[in-house]
Amino acid sequence: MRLFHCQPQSSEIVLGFVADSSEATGLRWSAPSSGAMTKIVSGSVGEPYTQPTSALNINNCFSSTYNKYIVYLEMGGFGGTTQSWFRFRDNTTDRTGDYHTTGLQYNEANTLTTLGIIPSTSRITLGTLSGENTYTCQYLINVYAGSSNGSMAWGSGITFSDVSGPQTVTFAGTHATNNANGFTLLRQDGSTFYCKYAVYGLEK
Amino acid sequence: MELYVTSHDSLTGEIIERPMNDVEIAQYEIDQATYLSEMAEAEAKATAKAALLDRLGITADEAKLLLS
Repeated sequence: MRLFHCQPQSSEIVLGFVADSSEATGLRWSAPSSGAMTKIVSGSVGEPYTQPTSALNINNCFSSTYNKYIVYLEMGGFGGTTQSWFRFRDNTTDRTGDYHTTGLQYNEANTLTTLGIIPSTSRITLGTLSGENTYTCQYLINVYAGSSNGSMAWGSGITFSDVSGPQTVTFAGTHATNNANGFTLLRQDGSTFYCKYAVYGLEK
Repeated sequence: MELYVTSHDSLTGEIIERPMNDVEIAQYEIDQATYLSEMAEAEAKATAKAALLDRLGITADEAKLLLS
């Protein structure tokens, strides 16, 4: 495929119609879009097969600059096979109550596990994370935050259980936190995990 | 087991690794108790459901069929 870069020569050519025409038809030149998706933060904690952390706080990644975000996570666990959890943060404090969530997890035998279907709970459950750290899980999470209309996170991922192989997971949750400015990740039993993470802001 | 927290500030780029403070440890303990309570409740519901199906003499799939 060849790409051509064209420079406009006059306003008539650029707009594709004569200056006094009232019809807005034809091709129109416009500036290329920029900044539609911007990386806000990325990093990693621990490395596969080394001793990582029990909780990961990402602070000040949500702000009024954006209100929609994509969060990418790559996680592996140590210890037992337990759930991994997501919570919003507000001024560097975890929001620990009044989440409304739902989640479904299917293993390779098509057996369903429901996750966090509780009217009011303390977190959004991302799925089961194996204690075998060679089983890396990946999540892609859509986040609505940094506004005065509460916060939401929903997404999907692939997780691995050392007892039931690969699992697909979908989850969603809302929280009344206004202007949430970050999130935390942890595991249900405090077991450690490693994580690579990236947060992208989507243009309003 | 000592619990550690890693915090990454997106504005400054500062990354801090530290032991959990008293507030975080208290929350961790609440989380454990809450989770166990939720699991016990879910298990009790599942047991009651299985007992009811047994009394009715039908399977879970047959119950779904009845309710569809």
